[in-house]
Amino acid sequence: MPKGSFLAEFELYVMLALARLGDGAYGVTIRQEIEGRTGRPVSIGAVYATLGRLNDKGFVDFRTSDPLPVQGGRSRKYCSLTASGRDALAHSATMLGRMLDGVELGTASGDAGR
Amino acid sequence: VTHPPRLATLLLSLALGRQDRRYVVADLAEEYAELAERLDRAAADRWYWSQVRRSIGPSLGRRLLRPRRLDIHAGSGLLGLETLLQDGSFAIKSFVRAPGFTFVAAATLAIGIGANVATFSLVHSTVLRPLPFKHADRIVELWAEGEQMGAQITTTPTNEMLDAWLTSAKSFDGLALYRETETTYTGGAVPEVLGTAEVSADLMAMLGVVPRIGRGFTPEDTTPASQPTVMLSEGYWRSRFGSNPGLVGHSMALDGVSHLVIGIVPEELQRLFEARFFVGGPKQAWLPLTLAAALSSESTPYVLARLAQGITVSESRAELDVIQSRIVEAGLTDDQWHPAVLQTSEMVSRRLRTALWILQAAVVFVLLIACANVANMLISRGLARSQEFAIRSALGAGSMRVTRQLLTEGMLLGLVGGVVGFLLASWCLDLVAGAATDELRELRAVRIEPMVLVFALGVTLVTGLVFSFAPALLIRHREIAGVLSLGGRGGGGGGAGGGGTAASALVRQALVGFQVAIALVLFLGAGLLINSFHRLSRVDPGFEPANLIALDLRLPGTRYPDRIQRMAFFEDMVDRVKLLPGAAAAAWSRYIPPDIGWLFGTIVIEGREGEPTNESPLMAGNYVSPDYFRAMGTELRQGQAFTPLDGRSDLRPVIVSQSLAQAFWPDGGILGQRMRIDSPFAADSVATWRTIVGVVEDMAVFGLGDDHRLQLYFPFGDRDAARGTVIVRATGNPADLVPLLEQQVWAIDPDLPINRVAVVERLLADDIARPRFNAALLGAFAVLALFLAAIGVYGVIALAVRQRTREIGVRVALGAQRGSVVRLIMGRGLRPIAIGMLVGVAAALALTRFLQSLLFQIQPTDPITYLAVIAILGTVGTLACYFPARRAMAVDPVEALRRE
Repeated sequence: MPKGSFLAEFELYVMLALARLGDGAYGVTIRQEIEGRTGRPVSIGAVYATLGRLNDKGFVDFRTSDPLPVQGGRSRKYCSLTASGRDALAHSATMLGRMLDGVELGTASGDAGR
Repeated sequence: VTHPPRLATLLLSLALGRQDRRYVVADLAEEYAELAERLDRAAADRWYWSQVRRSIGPSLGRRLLRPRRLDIHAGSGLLGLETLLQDGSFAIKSFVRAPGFTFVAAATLAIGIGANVATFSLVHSTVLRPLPFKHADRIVELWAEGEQMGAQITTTPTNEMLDAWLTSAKSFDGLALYRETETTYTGGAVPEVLGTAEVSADLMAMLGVVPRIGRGFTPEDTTPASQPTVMLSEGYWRSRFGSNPGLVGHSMALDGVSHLVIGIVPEELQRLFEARFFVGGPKQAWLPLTLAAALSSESTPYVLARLAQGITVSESRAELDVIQSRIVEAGLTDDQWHPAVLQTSEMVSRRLRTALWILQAAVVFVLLIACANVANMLISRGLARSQEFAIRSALGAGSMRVTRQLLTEGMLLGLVGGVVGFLLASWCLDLVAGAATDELRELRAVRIEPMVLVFALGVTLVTGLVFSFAPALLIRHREIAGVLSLGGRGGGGGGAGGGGTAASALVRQALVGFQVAIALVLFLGAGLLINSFHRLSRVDPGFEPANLIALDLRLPGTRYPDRIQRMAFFEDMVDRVKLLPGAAAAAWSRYIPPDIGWLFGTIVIEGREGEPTNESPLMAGNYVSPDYFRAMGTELRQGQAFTPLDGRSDLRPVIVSQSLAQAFWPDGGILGQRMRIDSPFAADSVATWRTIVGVVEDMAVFGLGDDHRLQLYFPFGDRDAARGTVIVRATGNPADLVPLLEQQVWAIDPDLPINRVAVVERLLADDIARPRFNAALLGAFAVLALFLAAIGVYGVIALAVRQRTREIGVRVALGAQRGSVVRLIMGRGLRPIAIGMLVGVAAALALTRFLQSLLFQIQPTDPITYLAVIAILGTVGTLACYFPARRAMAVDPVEALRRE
C-alpha cells in the first residue's frame, strides 16, 4: 500500500466503476456507470485523463482488444485494477467508512440537518 | 452510417495525447451512434459537442502537465523530438507557475508585434500589394511628364500622344482609357448626381474582371447607332435598388437620356479603383467611352495599359520615346512632354510613401523596445531561477541543454505574443478602416493578408530568438558553484557579486539605455508632428468657416444652355436664400476653399512687360458673385467687390490677394492697374487685359497647409460655367438650414440634383485629416514606447532593490541616511537613462530630417520640442526609478540581515 496516497473524489469513482464492471470496463461503460449512478454529467475526456493518472500511480492496467469483427471495427482499451489499485481502493473505502462513522448527514432530498 | 460532427472530433483530437486519441474518439463514436438511433441526429450532435467541450480541459491538462521522468542526461544533441516536447512542457509549466511575468511579457510582445503587423498591412495593401488582376505585374499607367515654367508636372497625355500610342505602340497588348465625370439620374424621388466613370470597352477585359451579374461593355456599345448602356456599381445597386437582379435589362434616365442597364461592377474592382485610380470620389455609374469622344473632349482621359509578354517597363518607355520624337518631328506636337510609364503602385505610393515608411520605422522601434523589455524580464527571471539551473547543471544537464530550455521559452513567448498580436492587429485595422475619411480612403481597402501572416511569423520567431539569446548566454556563463554556495539568495549579491551578475547588470543597463534612446527618437518625431499639426489647425484661413454651408450644383446643359440662364438661376437662388430665416448671408462662386481651381502661368503687368514676374507658375483662380467676400467673411483691403454688372460689362475687372498686391505693387497704387496671365493653358477670360478693382486678404484656398498666395478672383459670369456653389452663412446650426435650402433649389427646378451639401468647417477639418492621422498614429506609438520603456526602467530598479536588500540593510545598520540609500539605488537607473537620452538626441538630430516633408512651419530641430520631450522623458524615467527605489528606504535592517 503506497503510504499517504489519498484518492481524489473522481479517481475514487473511476476505480469503483472499474471494480464494479470487472472485465467489461472501457471508456464507454465507465463513463455511463459513473454518470448513471451519480446522476451528473461525466465527460469522456475526464475519464481518460483520470485513467491516465491512475496508470501513472500504478493502480490501473490497460489492455487493448482485437479489432471488433465488423466493418470499420476498432479496438477498445480495456482497463482493470492492479493489485496495488485494489489495495488503494480498499484503503480509501476503509478510511471513508471510518470518517463517516457517527456523522449524521442530511439525505440528498431531505436536507434534514438544517 | 451517421458520422459525429467532424469539427468537434478534430478539436478533441488536438487536445488529446497520442496514446488516448483513437480510443476516446472511438468510444464517443460508439455512444453517438447509439444516441442517434435512439433519439435523433440533432440530439446526438448536441450531446457530442457537450462531451467534446467538457473533455478538452481535462485532456489538455493531462497532456501538458503530465509528469515526465526528468531525464537530465538526455538532450546533448540539438535535435530530438522527445527533448523538444520536454522543453516545451517545461516551458509551459514555468509560465503557468509565473502568471504575472508571463502575462506582462506576452502582452508586451503582443503590442509590439501587433503594431508591426497592422502597419505592415497598411504599407502592404497601399504600396506593395500587387493588384488583384490577371497579369497585374504587367499593368502600367501611361502619363506625360514635363517641365512647365520651372515646375515638374505629371499629367494625362495629350491627344496627339494618345493617338500615336494607340496606332503604333507595340509594347502593349492592351490599352484602356478612363475618365471621371458626373451624370444626373432623375428616375427617383429626388434627382441624384451619380459619380460616373467613363471607361473604354476593353478595360474590364484587359484587367480580367467579370461583372457581378449581367455583362460588361463591348465595342458595339460605343458605336453611335447603339442604345446607350450603363453599368452600376455593386454598392449603389445594393443601397439604391436592393440588389434587385431584375434591374439588369431595364433602362434608367441619365442626363435625360435612356440608358440600358447591362451589368453590375463587382465591389472589389469598384473599391480598388476608388482607392487607387479615381481622384474624384466614389462612382455609382460606369459608362462606355469611345476613343473619338475621349479625343474630342477637353479633359483627356487617364491611360492604363498592359505590357506585352516579355516587355519591360523601360523597353516600353523607350518605344514611346521613339514614337514621341517622330510626332515632334512631324510637327504634330511640341517637345515639352515626355511619355512616362509607371507601375500602378507608383502613383499611390508617391503620395503616401514618406508617411508610411516613417510609421513603419516607428513601429519597428516599438518592437525593439518591447524586445528589450522582454529580454530584461527574462534575464531577471533567469537570475531568480539561477539556482534551479545550477542544480540541473550540477546533476549533469549539459549547458547546451539549459540554453535550449531558455531558447524554447523565448520562442514560445514569441509565438504567444505573435498570435495575440495578430488578433490585436486585425482588430486595430478594422478600427482604422472604420474611421477613415474620404481623404484617407485608401485605408478602407486595407486587409490583413497571407503575406502579412508570413511577416508576423517571421517577426515573432526572430523576436523570440533575439530576446532569448542574451539571457541564455548570460546564464550559461554563471558560476555554478558560486550560485550554489550562496544558498537561497537567488540573484547573488550586488555589483560586487559573481562575474555573471556584473555582466548581466551591465547588459540590463545597456538595454534600458537603448530603450530610452529609441523612445526619445519616437517621442521627438511624434512631438514634431503634433506641434506641426497644432500650428496647421491654427492657421487663419482668411475667411470665417463657422456656420458656412456650401451647396454644389450642376446645371444640365440641356435645360440651361447659356450663360444668361445659368446666371439667372444662381441669382434667383441666392435672392430666395437671403430671405430664409436663419440665413445671414448668401453668395455663389465656382469653387470654395479648400479646393479652388489652379491657374497656371506668369503674371504680366501693363507697362512693365519686361520685368521679372512670379517664380512659381502655380496660382489660384476663382469665379465669384458680388457678395462672395462678404458671405465668406473675407476682408476687402482696398477697392471694392464686384458689382452685379461686372460679368456682363467690358471693364473685365479682377480682384487679387494681398500677397499678390504686395509682391507686384509693394508701394501701393495697385487699383486701376491692368494685368493678364500668360500661359499655354489659361482660358481666354484670364489671358486678356483686366483691371484690378480690389484687394482682399489671402485665403487658404488649397487648404490650411498650403502657401500658394497668388490668388485672383474674376466675376462669376466671365466663365461659362455650368457648375457653381451656393454659399450660405447660417445664424445657427448649419445642419438645420439644409432642408430649407434643398426646398429652395427644387422650388426653382424640381429636376435639379444637389451634388453635395457640405459644412465648410468640416471640409477644412477633412483637409487636415492626413496630418492629423499621422500625428495621432505616431503619437500613439510614442506613448506606447514611453510606457514600455518606463516598465523597463521600473523593472531594472525593482530588481536592483531586491538583489541588494542585504547590502542596503547593512548600510542602514551602519548609519547610512535613507536619502543616500535612495540616491544610490536611483543612480543605477538614472545613469543609463541619461546616457540613453544623449544617444537618443544624437540619433534624433540625424533622423528627424526625414520628417521634413510632413512638417508645417516647424524645423526638424525645433529646440522647444526637443526640450519638452527631454523634460517629459526625464520625468517619466525619474518616476520609474523613484517608486521602486522608495522601497529601499523601507528596508528594515534587522529583517534584511535575518533573511540571509
